[in-house]
Amino acid sequence: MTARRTDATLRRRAFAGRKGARTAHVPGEPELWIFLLGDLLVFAVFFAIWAAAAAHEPHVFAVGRQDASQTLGLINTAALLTSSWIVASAVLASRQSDHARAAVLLRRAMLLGALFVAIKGIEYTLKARHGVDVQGSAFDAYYFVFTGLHLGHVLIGIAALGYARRRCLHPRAVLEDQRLVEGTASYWHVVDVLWIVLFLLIYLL
Amino acid sequence: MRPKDHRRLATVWIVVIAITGACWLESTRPPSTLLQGLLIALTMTKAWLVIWHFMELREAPRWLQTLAAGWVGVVFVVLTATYLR
Repeated sequence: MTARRTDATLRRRAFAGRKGARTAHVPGEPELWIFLLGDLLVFAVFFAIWAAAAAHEPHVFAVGRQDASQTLGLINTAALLTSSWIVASAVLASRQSDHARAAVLLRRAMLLGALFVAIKGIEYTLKARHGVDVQGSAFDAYYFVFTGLHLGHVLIGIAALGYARRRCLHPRAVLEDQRLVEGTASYWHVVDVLWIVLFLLIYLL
Repeated sequence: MRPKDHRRLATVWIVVIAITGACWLESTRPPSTLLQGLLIALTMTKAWLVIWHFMELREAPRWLQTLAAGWVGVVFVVLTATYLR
């Protein structure tokens, strides 16, 4: 299959609905979704554990919520939502073979990811200064474990975005590169979705 | 990128940011049971918008759409049942 025909195939899959026929498309490699869905399942269990603990000790979690910085939580949530938008735009640019623009957008998303990491570092530092650590209350223990695991996901995601950006700057095969960008984007969106729920549990409820 | 796609993604971003800001404004005091239910519903709506539009599951096979919707639904039910009992 020539590169031009492969490119046209990707466009047909991307723009589903043409001529009334729905062309289903799995973003990225299908095998990646086994991991992504598994990750979503694991964090769903975490969310249930947090909710059960909050129901068991409502006063402890109310105090923990009060001590959390809603402003930093807001900034982090806005950063990840914006980065998701940018990454989605990068996928579309990549699909149009505008690799330069895709690379620029991926870099912006990485910077927003770095902002998230920096703010998380500030939050952890502030908590440490107040003597709050993982051995504290149930809220504190779950806070550090769950946000720590999520932070690890963010760091992996930033590295993955960096690799995808590098492939946009030095493209190899059209289909392979496209799947890499889509798969990386899907992972990043999962990271965003997980934080959307964590933001609710930690800062709002 | 087609202008239509660009507009759709931008609209979704505006909506999820607006929902986030509105929820944050309500975070200054402990939420009532009704507000908790609303916050959970709005959060899962945001999650679904990201999944459907940013993650492009609107163009994914039915099995993947069903699994994703199932995840959103289960998390919504679990949180609602736990916080609102």
